Amino acid sequence: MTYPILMHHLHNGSVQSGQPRRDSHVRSRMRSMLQDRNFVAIAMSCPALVYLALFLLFPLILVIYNSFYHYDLIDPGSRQFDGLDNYVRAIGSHRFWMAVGNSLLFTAVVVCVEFVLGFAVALFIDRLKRGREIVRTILLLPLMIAPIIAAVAWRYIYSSEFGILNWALYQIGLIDSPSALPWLSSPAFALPAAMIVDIWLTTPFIVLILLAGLQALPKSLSDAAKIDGTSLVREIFLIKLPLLRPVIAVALVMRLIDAARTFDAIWILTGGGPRFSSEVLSTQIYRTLARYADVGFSSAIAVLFTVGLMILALCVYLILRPSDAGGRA
Amino acid sequence: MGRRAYVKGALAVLVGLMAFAISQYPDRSAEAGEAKVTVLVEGGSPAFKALQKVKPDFEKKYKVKLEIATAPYMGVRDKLISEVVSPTGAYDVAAIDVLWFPLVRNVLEPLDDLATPEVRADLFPHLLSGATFDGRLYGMPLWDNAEILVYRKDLFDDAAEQAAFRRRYGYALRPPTNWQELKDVAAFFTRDLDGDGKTDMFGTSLEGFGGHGDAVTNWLYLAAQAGAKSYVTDGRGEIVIDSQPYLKASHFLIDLIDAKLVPPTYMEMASPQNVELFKAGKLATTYVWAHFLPDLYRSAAAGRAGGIGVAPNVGGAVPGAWYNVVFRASKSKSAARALVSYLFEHDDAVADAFGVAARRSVLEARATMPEGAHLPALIRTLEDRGTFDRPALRRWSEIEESVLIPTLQTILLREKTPEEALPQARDEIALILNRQRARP
Repeated sequence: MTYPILMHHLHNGSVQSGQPRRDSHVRSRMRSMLQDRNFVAIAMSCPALVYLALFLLFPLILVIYNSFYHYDLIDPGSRQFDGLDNYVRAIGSHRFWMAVGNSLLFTAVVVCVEFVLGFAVALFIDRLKRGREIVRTILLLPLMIAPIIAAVAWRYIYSSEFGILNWALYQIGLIDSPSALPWLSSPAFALPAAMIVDIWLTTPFIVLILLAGLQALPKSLSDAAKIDGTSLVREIFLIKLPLLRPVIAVALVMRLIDAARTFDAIWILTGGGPRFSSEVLSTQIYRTLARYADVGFSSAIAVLFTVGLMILALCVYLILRPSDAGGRA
Repeated sequence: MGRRAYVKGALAVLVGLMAFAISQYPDRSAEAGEAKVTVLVEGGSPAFKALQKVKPDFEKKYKVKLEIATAPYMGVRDKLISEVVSPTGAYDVAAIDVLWFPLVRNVLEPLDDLATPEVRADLFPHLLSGATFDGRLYGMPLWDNAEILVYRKDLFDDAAEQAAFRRRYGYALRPPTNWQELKDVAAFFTRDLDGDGKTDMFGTSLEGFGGHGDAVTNWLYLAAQAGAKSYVTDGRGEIVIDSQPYLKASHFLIDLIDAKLVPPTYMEMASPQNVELFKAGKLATTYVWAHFLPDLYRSAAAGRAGGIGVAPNVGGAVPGAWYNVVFRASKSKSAARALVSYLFEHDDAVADAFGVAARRSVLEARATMPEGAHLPALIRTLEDRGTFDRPALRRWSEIEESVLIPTLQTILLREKTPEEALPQARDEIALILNRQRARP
């Protein structure tokens, strides 16, 4: 492929036929390089590659490197090679496994509920004849709120003493007293309370992606199903869901990674408590690093977390990816 | 006009905007000759307000430019740790919590020369010991603080209530001075006011919220009131968390819960929540940090007949002091020292912003004013033999967050008895301290 405008500029630039031979040689080399698709592709990717190397690859290597050291942030001189000690410590720690369990539970529940709710809402909006844009905009409002702000607001909503949620439940007679449900202070309620906030915050994201997928489906299939007298339920399960599979795979993998690394909502709502009952891996990593200044141990947890998350995301993608026989949406 | 001309025009506008932006940026080179002090403080904190107040006069008097850098509470701690890891001299002075000294003292400038005999005589002893390491003083106090008793004066001054209390308990109704009196007062005032079978007012409160240190502070000073001579470890490094005073303090809290003398939401309670419930008339007594009193005086609670009563804590409390420190890497040490000294002399600016101060003379002078009605109780609490600092351990944050808070919550939730939970806490603290000792 040639670049006519670029070539035109090269021809009309400062390098003219009267210039020394060396310039002519450089010009011809440049021209041949610019005609090389691979070179152009690499050159254009370079800024992004440099950025990724600096801000992704380097920190990743540093985290892996630090995970093999005892490294006290407030006493940098104490850095000492520890081999696999930090990993052994993590694997032998009851609190690490508690955080793993909570992370898995949190991720599984929020992703499943968000998917079911999100799909239902997307179907509803897709079938609306009028006002679709208004309904969609209203439903997307939580997505526009910063999670940290939402968490602070929900903390007030959940308050056993002053919270509107318990007060509403009390008013409709579901609980005996406004302080009956200790949302944030009971080990049984703390994690579910954080799940509710996450579901409220990010279901609109699933709605948005699935709605885009639904609207991209060929209308002829739906019309054919109607002519054949197919019920709505059969149409959803036999036509829409299989065709949406690639979209669902992307949405679920993205949400899976996002939910597994949820931090702000949990930290603001419960701080991982009470008694670490709502501690997830992201809060544990932050706590170990920022509060305990234990760089090595937090790095080891972060490495284990990243590896686990990659395996999980890969499994979900492999299960949900469109098969060769399946059609693409 | 061709496309090239448009591009040139756009570039010219861009360059012009950049030149304008650069011209608006403070001229650092012009300030090079002028001394400048950069202070790191918690945004919106009393230290921040006090600095803003003294800034014009200080700059005028010392011909020093004062820059105030703010961060949230934990952000200040993070920036301090950054200075430890890699001293940059970015800050000359910082306002720090007493708990942070073990983390940062190696990068701080000793300030012994500022603590003249007159200064020392004007401070509570723990204020000096909290900032003294290896015989050197590393911080000048900004304010002192402690949890004190707040009670509803309208109830305590009521003749009918006084007579009923005497009939029931055989002694005069008064602000409690020991645990038994506190239990009696709490039981007496825990009431169903509207006859619907539910308690509307609780006699007292307790703090079980794990989000910050109030719950632990409350538990620790109860242990001191029960006879503990030090917190968590003794002077020789022995862990004492499972000793009798801590067992007694834990059982006292359980007794209050079992007798339903505290709000059922105690696991969500810390000092700010106590204040809100007290304002709403749902608590007859509570313990709050002294700096909450100015807010209480301004609230509707103060408008109730008789207003708000304040009394010393029943046997000492954990002090919550803050200090100004100077960084060793500061490039303007003399100006930084001048600022720290100036702030100490103008401690009343902190008192204006916060309702508490570091200097005894300032506290005593304000104690006679209506807005300082809580200060005599604070002074007596700070003077109490049971008032002493938490240990200066580098791993205190880890011990507090990973052992003390979960242990206390386990006890309050009745998942384990104190006899079961405290020895386990002892082992966990030992693990943390041994891990640190094992390192060079």
